[in-house]
Amino acid sequence: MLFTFKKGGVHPKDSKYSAKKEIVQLKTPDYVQINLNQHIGAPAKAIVKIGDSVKKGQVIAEPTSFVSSYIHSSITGQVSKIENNFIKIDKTEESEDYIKLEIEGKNLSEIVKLAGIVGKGGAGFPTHVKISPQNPETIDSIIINGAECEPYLSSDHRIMIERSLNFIEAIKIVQKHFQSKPKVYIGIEINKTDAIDKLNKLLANETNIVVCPLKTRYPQGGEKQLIQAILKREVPTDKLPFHIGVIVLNVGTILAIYDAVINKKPLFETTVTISGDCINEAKNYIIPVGTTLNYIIEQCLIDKNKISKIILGGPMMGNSVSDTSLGINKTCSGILFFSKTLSLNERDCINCGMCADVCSLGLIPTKFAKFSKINNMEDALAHNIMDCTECGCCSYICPAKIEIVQWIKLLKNNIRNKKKDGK
Amino acid sequence: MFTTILPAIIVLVLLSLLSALILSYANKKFKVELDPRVSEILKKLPGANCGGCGYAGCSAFAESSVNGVEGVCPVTDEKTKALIAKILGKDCSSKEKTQARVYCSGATNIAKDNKAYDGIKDCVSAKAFGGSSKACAYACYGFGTCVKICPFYAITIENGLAVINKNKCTGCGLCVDVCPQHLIRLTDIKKPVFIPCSTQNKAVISKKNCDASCIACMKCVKECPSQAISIINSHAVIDYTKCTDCKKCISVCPVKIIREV
Repeated sequence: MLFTFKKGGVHPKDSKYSAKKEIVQLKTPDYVQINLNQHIGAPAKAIVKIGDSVKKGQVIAEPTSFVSSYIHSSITGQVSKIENNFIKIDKTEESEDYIKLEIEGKNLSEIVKLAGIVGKGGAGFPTHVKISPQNPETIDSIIINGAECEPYLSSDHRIMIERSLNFIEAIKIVQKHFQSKPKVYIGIEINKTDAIDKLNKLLANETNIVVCPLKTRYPQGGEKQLIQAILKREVPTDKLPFHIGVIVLNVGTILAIYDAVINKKPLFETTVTISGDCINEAKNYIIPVGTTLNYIIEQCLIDKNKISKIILGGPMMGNSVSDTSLGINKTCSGILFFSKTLSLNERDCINCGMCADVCSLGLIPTKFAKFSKINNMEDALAHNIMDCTECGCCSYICPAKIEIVQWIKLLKNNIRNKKKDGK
Repeated sequence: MFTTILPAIIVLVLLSLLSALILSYANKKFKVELDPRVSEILKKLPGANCGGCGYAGCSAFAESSVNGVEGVCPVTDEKTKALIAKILGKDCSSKEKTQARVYCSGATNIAKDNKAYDGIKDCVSAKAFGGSSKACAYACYGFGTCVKICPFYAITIENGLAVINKNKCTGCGLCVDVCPQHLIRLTDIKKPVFIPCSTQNKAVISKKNCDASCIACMKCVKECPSQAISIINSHAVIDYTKCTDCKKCISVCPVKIIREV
């Protein structure tokens, strides 16, 4: 029996070229550029100075508010530059060792905070805040997001196959953290039958952890869609999953929790799918945080002249970047290199309604695009624009080639700024 | 036949007389006292509802003026301003008339590109998501968000750069607020000399990014007899409280970035 969200969605080509290959560790770069703003909330503040020697795993920046995160060095070296919200560290030695976290006597939230763990699904919400909701006794369900519905990406898939035992142990640790003994549902799309079968075997004797096979459809991995598909509950407007008793966590985040609790390892490297049509062998690599795109291009033997578009994340919701001297963040789980780019000429809306058909949240995207072009914030709010998760199904399907999501992002940005100014 | 219709006619006539009485009573009892000055002032105002005065429209401005709140319609000329002041029985203090100017000269091919921009043609959107194709991070994006907001059709995009028509600009200030690069500023029309460059990069980088760039060589700073020019954030800026419009700076600038509007 396949779970799925009740309406809409699209099915782009899976393109999971890296799904059958094992994860490989990328060679340590000669320097890293670690951003201080890799998470939702206030940017972290540097606590090292230029010239300082730092060891792998050492804290180099502290959180500046409740919703913020620690940042650790991903290599052993010397701080050579601090500016514009990033810290540059030059490597001085290769080292497998790292500064271990001091977790004696600490509870899971404190450990997760010290390890600098943020949501590895891409948004980067500090996990210690997520697992400490206001009323933890109301949490009755935890959903582990193993959907990985974006084309090309397969890092979560490989983690579930290669580190299955660690994955399950971490799930149990998170489950125990909640006194209310929540049931755990692991959502995995049906195009990952090997992961589903392996986990089902390992969880055969567990009653409180179940694997939920999901229909392969985008955006199956959206948290609102997952909650609706598996639990048949809807997250109300302006509310978060914990308000209805649910916590949703990404597979990569769960693995980071295992490393923090069992290996006392802070989050300083990330498993990334390197794919696209510019690379001969698409694969998943473990990459130190702050590794530059230039280094990755060189190490993965990508012809730089062939590249026309670089996307961080998946092709549906990822962001394209042009500066290859930037270092990657701990939330990065995919980098796609494409040789072609689409330059679309927007035409007028033909009112076909396809965008409304594919919207899994029941919104009418074409209205938002029209409101955005004249900056009509009131009507957009009345039509629940803030519920939009910017999944991209509407832009994908629009026959008039209107960049609907970009118009929506613009209007949401204006609305947020107006609210901030108003305060 | 007449006798059958007569009662109907009488009833209707009585009903209409009754309505007339009620309406004339209501007209007197519920009359809204409108200050006649409001409509007089409204007639003198341009009626564009541009918001340059800070109010939602011309009638809102007229009403607040009659209520004694000091204000100015930046769009009207001096003669009209004086007439409005006369209606209010007040003095009109003169303020220098300003117009909007674009402090960037980075047209296509002058400001070099270092990437391709595929997104929607909107400046605010481009700013939020990484900038335009131009290498200079401080350049005009040229997508025309300012064009859309100008109620007087005074702005056009020419070769990827916003250009303001000084014969149409009324100084209402809407474009100033909307430009996400903060490149548009209101300047006194009596001071035509200006330096249309807002780079914050050092000259070495800025020159690579744009042929028109100010290089902060300080020749203008030294030449100005009133010390009106200084280098702020790597580009030259004129202090209009000191500028006497002598135009000496224009002749010494080696990159010809000091212009007249």
